[in-house]
Amino acid sequence: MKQGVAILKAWQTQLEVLPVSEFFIRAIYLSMIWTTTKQLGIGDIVWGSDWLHALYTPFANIDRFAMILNEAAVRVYYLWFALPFLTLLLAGLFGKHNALTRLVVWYLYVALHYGNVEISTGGHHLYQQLLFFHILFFKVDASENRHWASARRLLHHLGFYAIWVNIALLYLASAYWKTFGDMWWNGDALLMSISFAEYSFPGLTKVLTHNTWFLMLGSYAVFVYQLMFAVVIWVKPARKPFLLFGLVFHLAIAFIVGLTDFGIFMIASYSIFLSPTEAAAMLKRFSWSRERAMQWSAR
Amino acid sequence: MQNSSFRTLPSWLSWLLLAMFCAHFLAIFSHQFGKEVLPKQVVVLAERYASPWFYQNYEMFAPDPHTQINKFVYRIRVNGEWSAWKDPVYPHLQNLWYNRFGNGGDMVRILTGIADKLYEGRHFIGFMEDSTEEHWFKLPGFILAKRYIEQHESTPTSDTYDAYQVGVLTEVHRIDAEGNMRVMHLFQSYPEKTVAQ
Repeated sequence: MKQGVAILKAWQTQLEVLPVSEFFIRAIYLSMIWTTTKQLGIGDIVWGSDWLHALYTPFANIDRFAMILNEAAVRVYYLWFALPFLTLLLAGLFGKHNALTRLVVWYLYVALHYGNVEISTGGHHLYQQLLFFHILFFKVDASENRHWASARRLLHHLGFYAIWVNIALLYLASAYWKTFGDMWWNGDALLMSISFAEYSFPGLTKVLTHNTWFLMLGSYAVFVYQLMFAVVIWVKPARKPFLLFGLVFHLAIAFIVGLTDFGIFMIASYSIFLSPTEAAAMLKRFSWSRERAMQWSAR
Repeated sequence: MQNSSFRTLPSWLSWLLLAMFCAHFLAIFSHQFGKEVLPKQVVVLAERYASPWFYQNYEMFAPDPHTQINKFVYRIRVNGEWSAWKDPVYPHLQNLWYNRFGNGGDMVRILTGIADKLYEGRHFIGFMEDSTEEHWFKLPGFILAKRYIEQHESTPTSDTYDAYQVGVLTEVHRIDAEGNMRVMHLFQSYPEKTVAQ
């Protein structure tokens, strides 16, 4: 209890995680700029009037706004959603964002995400949650000492760790549902996943016609990684090597399995696990101006 | 560094904010894991809270990876002659293999969505006692396939097509006791649809 009180107090008086939050915002915004831009190439089908999926509008009242791009009459105006979304993402990439823009980014993402459920992955569902919590990433100057500043620092920390919990939830839920199957237990899962040309390469499917020890090992490694993520991520010495495995795993999902959005989204979201020093160094390296670079190196 | 001049929030308010976050995740965890074990009212409440804004589906490759993939195909009739079956997915699949950063994967998933609905529709019809052609043509998968054909084939005239037919090709994979991959194919077609000229 005493420790809890001390942590809650510390979360109101200091904001060491600010560089991490800032780098996280840029990483996920960059991934969304890529995915939104490539989908704009087929925007009329994805969000517009040439849709090729079943439109789904089960909600009423305010919930209807989440599914607004499932209304045929609204889909004609999909650029009114996609272009402001891209603009806000680009501004955020240059550090220009505030609570209001982050709120709008979250809403536009929800609308665009639900606008086409066929291209949705677990990564898209995760981003919907992460973007909600990123609204709370208030920038608070270290010298501010009023109640409002303390409240914003506390909310920033709560949002920050809510993102950790939500990423852990993704792996826990994914592993939990896998326990009900057979293939993750008997080691057939990896071969089955990449045996379809749609989730692999034609050359690869021709070579991998038999389950081998390394494919079985891969199946078990993925299963164990997902099962353990929610626990290991809180153990500081184990975090980096553990996440390194996750990085390789998600690169494989992006470039071998071909679920590029999912793989890239997961890798970008891992930036929340950087240390403040690492995040500040990255921000300094990728700063657009010398003043900005100095700002991060001063921290 | 903690500074004594900082005006922190009253303790009860800090705890209240923390409790709100805990309540959020309690509802989300109940929604994810509690469907079979929690009282029905709690499940309904958690579902109501989560959908649509906090809805999360993480059943990727679970409980087992896909063991089958459906492919949407169609053909058209021109001057009484049927074309070969067309595979609209393949060009996008090639695009996906060639460029993982492109939108080929999105198109593959959208068209696979049509194929899945065609497959489900074929089974649905199988359970109907007196199905007519009209039942087939009202199925969601057929309506989407029709939209695709209308978008990608020129308007029906005497010079173009006067009928079309959609089908779904299912590729089923199974790993046998020796660890070998076995591949089977199943093709199911829908009735031919004549179009008004």
